[in-house]
Amino acid sequence: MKKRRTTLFLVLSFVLCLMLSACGSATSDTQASDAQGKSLGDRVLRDRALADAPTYDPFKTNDVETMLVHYQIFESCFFEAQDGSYQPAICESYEFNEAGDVLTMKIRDGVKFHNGSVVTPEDVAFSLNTAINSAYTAKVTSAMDYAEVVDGNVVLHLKFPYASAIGCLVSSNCAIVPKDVYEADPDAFAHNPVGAGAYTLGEIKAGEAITLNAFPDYWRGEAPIKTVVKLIIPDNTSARMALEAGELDIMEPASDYTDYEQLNNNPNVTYYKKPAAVFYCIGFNCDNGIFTDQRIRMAIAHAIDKEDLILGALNGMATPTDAAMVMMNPQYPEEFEATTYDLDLAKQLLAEAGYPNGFSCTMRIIGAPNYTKPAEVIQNQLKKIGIEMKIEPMERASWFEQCYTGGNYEITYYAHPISVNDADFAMYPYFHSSGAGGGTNFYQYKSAELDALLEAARASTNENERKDLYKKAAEHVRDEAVSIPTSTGWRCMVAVNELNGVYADPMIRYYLYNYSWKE
Amino acid sequence: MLRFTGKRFLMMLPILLSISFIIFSIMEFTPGDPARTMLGDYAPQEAVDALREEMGLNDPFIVRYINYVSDAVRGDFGESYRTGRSCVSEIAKRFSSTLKIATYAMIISMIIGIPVGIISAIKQYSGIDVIAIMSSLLLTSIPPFWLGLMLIMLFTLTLHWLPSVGSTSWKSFIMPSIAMAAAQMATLIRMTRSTMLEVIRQDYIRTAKSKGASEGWIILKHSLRNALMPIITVIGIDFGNLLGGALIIENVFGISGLGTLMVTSVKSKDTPMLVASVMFAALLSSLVNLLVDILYTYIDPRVKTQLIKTH
Repeated sequence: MKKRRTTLFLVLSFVLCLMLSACGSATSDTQASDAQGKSLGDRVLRDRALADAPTYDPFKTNDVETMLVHYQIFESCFFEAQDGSYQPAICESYEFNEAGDVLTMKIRDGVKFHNGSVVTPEDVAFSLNTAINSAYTAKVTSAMDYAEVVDGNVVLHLKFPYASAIGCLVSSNCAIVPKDVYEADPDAFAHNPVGAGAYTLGEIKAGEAITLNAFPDYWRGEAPIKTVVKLIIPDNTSARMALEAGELDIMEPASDYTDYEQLNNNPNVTYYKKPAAVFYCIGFNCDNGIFTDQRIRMAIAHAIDKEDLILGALNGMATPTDAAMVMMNPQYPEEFEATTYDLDLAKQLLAEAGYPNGFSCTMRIIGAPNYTKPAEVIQNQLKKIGIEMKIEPMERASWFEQCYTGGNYEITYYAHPISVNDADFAMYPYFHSSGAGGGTNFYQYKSAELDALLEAARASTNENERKDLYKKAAEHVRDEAVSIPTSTGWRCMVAVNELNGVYADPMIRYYLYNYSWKE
Repeated sequence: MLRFTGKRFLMMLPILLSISFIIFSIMEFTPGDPARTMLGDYAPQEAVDALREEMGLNDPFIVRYINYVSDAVRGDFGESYRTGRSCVSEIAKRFSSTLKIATYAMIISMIIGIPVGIISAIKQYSGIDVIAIMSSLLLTSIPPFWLGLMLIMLFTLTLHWLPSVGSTSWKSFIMPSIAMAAAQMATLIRMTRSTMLEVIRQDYIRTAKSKGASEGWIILKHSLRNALMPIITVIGIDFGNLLGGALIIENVFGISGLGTLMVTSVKSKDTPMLVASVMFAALLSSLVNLLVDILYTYIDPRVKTQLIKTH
């Protein structure tokens, strides 16, 4: 009896295994036939998203993940080419006035929205005004005043001459929407968007997947890849395994590069990387506490070994940064004298400031690996000059409330991300005195000299002049050690080898329109 | 029985009210401003203040709480700060995935845990017993996150049997259910073993044996039924917990469930969504426990008699 039961158990187990393997084969076969059986245009691109999009209203979000979807659905006046240049999109041509504070744009004929209607100058003006009046889009619209239609063209009035205006208009926050549809019911629009982008919004499985379908009447021609499914996979390890298992075609790898070796050595995928549009820096509270003394800040600047920091905290996957702007900014100085690594000078400065034996302080940071790991290396480096630095990781919202807006910190480690490739975005918000006292200038640094440089730089339309002004501004920041830029990381992308057109965009601005399957 | 059930339903109300108050208070006093979170760092303070006014965030805490409760009583749990959609609809979208995984996980843990516990008790101190105990210790110790990733490595990467992410088909639920079932299985093995050991030493079992009843009949008819009460209790508690969502499993397998919804709500200071989802989880847990109590009356007639006397 016992033997029969055992035999029955073994047989059932074997049958179960066979059934599961049959299911597994079907899965693999299905994937294989998807890859090979269908025509290339029909092959679905499986992308990865970190989270679902809470809204499809382009004027009511500033969440990067959401905007990645918006860039596919909506079209703006300009788009960003792979080389980082800004190209006309809905705007066919443009012209600044002499003062540089009025931008006249000729709207391209025949551009269609997803509902079949044609984009008109009225739609463009309405969209820009909606963006300008939205509090969510302040990052890119703060320099804009209003838009109007004049003689069939759209005229955008700026509050002041602003060289970065074109870059701002690339943002999906300045997307062009049909006026009649949006005005009729903005809440409904947020769930059923109508844009002029390369893809329309398809099926949404809340929290799991977003489907995008190629728009046949897109003004540049229908996208090569007809269907894109963005699978929502919050966990990096799971996403990597899904890529390796053939369930994903493209994804951004872990931001701390822990999976770099594995993915880079995978023969089935290609790892793309480019310097990111963000730099990390040590920041000081220049208004309150021990670091109001410039000598102490300079002492720390001389005690930081950036190469060592990058090696220790980032596995060497970053570039040392000396000027307080993003390295890809066109205004980044080609030659910039960095603060030297000099421990003796650092100790001397501390002694002059009255701390020959060092002191204790607390570095308050966001408790994420891209801040905690460098903080630990900095802690060790500062020990060499007698500074005992305690690290206090905080929850993100707490850090923002207490340190960023509250100014309740001594020293911190943070990043300067930018949404437009211009030094104005890297410097003005963080160093102009108008941002101090609860704004983006969390260093609480105020300097009339620096203010003048930043104001002149943002208003100038002469690129050489701007470059020179920003160099001076960066030198000021360096000499005053307001913050100590340390490194620029990489922006990475991993994709299966069969996918063409993939690139790592420093601004995290990906257009799926550029992708196609290799023949 | 009806009176008993009615009383239990009524008892849920103060529980749910307390939970809502606690969550509301926690969200009120933890750092972060939902208006600032929504508008971003660059938004001017005036815009943040205006949005706070629009959202009613400047009203006193107690006023906001009372308004929330009075709306909730009418079935309106508000709109998510983050998505602008009804909290109830957001929960409904995600609950089916959580329910599936929780149900499958409980079924797996019961199918394996109870029989293994029984065998372990009957063959106490044997090799099987040792293996069962060691396995339950292992299953309890293994972090679900790690187990999930290992399952993906085996069944997706190596064997290509199952999909690793999403919930597109029934196959998508196998690994998450197993990962979730592991700890529950371990508990059931130990609980079943422990209660069975107590029961099989009772006099009535010896009597049944001496009367010539078969071993199978003794186990199923006499022993298991008497051992079921604590087992059912544990199943009820575990199932109630599982219905609240398992964030880690959901993250690993890319499944959108209640756990993920709750954590996203915490991060974005989405108080209405968090309160609604936690209350929903608490309600489910209470309902499951009520069902367990009702089940007791069928397993043990003495419980029913006692209930009738009391109520």
